[in-house]
Amino acid sequence: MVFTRQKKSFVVMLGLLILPILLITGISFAKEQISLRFAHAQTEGEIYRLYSAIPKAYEALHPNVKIEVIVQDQQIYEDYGLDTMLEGPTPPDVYALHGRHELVVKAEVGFAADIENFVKPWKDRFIEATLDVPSINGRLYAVPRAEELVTAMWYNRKIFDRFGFAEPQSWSELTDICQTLKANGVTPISFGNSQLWAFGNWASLITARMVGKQRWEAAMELRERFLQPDFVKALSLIQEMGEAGFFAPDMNVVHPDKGIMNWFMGWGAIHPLGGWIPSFVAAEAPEDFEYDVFDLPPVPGGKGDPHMQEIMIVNLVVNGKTKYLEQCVDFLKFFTSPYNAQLLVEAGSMMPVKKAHELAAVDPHLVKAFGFGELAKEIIGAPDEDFAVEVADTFSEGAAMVALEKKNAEEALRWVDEQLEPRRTR
Amino acid sequence: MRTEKGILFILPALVIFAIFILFPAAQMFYYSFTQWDGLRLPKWIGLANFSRAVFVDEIFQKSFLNNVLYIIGTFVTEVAFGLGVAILLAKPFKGFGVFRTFFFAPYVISMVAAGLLWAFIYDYNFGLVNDFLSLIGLSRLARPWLGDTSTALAAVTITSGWKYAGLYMIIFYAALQQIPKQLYEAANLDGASEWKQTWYITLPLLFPALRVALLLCIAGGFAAFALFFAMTNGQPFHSTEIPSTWIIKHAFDRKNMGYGAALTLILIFVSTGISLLYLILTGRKEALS
Repeated sequence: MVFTRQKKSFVVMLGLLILPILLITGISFAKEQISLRFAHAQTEGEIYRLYSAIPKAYEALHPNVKIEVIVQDQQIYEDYGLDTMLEGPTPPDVYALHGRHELVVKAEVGFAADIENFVKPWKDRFIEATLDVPSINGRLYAVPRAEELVTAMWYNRKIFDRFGFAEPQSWSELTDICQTLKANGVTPISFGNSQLWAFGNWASLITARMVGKQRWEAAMELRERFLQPDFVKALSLIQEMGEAGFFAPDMNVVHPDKGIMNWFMGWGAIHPLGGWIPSFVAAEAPEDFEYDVFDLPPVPGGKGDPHMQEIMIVNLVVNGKTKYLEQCVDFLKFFTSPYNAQLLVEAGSMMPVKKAHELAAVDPHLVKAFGFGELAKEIIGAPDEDFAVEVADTFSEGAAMVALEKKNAEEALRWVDEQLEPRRTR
Repeated sequence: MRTEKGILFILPALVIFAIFILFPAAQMFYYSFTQWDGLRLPKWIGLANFSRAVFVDEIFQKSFLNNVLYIIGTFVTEVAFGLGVAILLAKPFKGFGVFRTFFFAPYVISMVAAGLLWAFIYDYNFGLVNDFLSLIGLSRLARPWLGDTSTALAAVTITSGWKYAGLYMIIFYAALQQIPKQLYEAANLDGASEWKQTWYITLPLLFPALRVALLLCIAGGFAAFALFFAMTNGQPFHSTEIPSTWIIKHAFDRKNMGYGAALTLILIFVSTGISLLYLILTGRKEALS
């Protein structure tokens, strides 16, 4: 009987020792199931496929994580889709966001998390200049996912060859080319400007190169007025082109996509647009369409960097209200890994990840276009991504008025200041 | 007892009405007095939005003028044209039924599809209109119909006429069937010409239908959005800007939700006021009560 009591005590003691160990190991094996929502507006092409494939690959490596991908049309996403989702009952944990202005707003209301401490160990994978946009007061609130060249002078090579044009290196060479094209019944420069940003981006680069980056940003942030001599000088260049008939008269009612199609059809020799042109050409252009690209020549009398470029950064943001901050950042780390970066580059998206372009098979036109940045000392962002849309649209519209001879440069800039006065004084 | 029962019956509908109409309307009324971007907390600014809309925002003021011009234009291209076609096709000739179907067919196409279709027809480079003008030796008249501030509004109005004339034709055709045939027989016996019969018999008896058509034209004109959005979105340079497109730009593109709400309230006030005035002027006291 003594033995039985001892035996019982032994079993109880053993159980008391083993049970906690079993409980602890059981809990760690039964990992928490994590559901993440990833929202973006990439709806077409190989990049769209990768935006679905990369989360799937992440899920395969992390069986306890499920990623629901939510895709919306770009216009809806930017106008109200993303904000509605963020304020709704099932907000995204990670989302794509263009430029800086909206990131600052999202951070202000808690929809963008400060991820500086989490990203710091692998921050050096990114090209340093691309970390300015997703940083607020020196801390990262997003990681840069893509750097898009906003405007470059894409041209129809067959038309150029027909007239024996070389790529212009100066503003006067550009205007000479346009003069010859116009005289021969070819629209020199075409835009699909129904949404104002296409021409606005180009006019912004001309203006920023003329007035300098700091004064450009001061005006766009409404710290200075637009009606200043150097701004008038910049728009006067556009006015001269407009008076010479270098722009298509219907550019303001042509949708950007249709503008590209018109360019494919030969209605327009030069089509200033962004780095997404090669992927459009690959997907939509006629087989015999030949094209190339040159940098906007330095503007005469410019006070800014003559080789300034306009770049848009697409960010991946972690929702500040997510329950899974570390998991989200880990997903961002995977998304922007050198391997995935290489895939995205090959799909036509320039990645701000070091060496991604060296390893990938990149469209040579895109390599050439991004090569313009090697001479650039200054970079500006797309006006409607880095600044308030109302300011960007108003300036873009003023510039278009000058191009289509509705107002001269001074009248247009005065009009821009008048339209923005309520915003300036509130 | 009957009153309580009645209220109980309509209560579900009232609840849905309150949730989806009254509550959002009350919210919109509140936001119109604020500066709000849809994300940050609304900031109370009193009447500043309304003051801006009425005294400063020239584009908003011009958008009403564009809307009125559009309504006048659609009265011609939709109502008057529909009336003329109805009178012509009301005759019992063989094949006229097919013509009536053809005239009505555009009405069933969605507004956006109609807008996109006509945007191609008006295209500066390859549109049918400019091609036809070149064909008949009038290429000097070819222009960017939607890109020219002097023709864009008219171009959109003609598209609207193409789409809606058939609807008014059907309305007037149905009304024409109600006119007693004996009146025309008597007029024939008296030697009245076709024109005199139309002027003295048809039009006066069509007046009630015409009144309804005009009210539809006015109300529809102020509610127009889809066609303008699809064809020009207010371009070029606000020559086709109407209040609804300007409201969308401010509320969603520019994230000026507060200002967009104020513009919407003004639009509601103006369009309701004009409709009520119309009812008063046409003596429709029963509709008002």
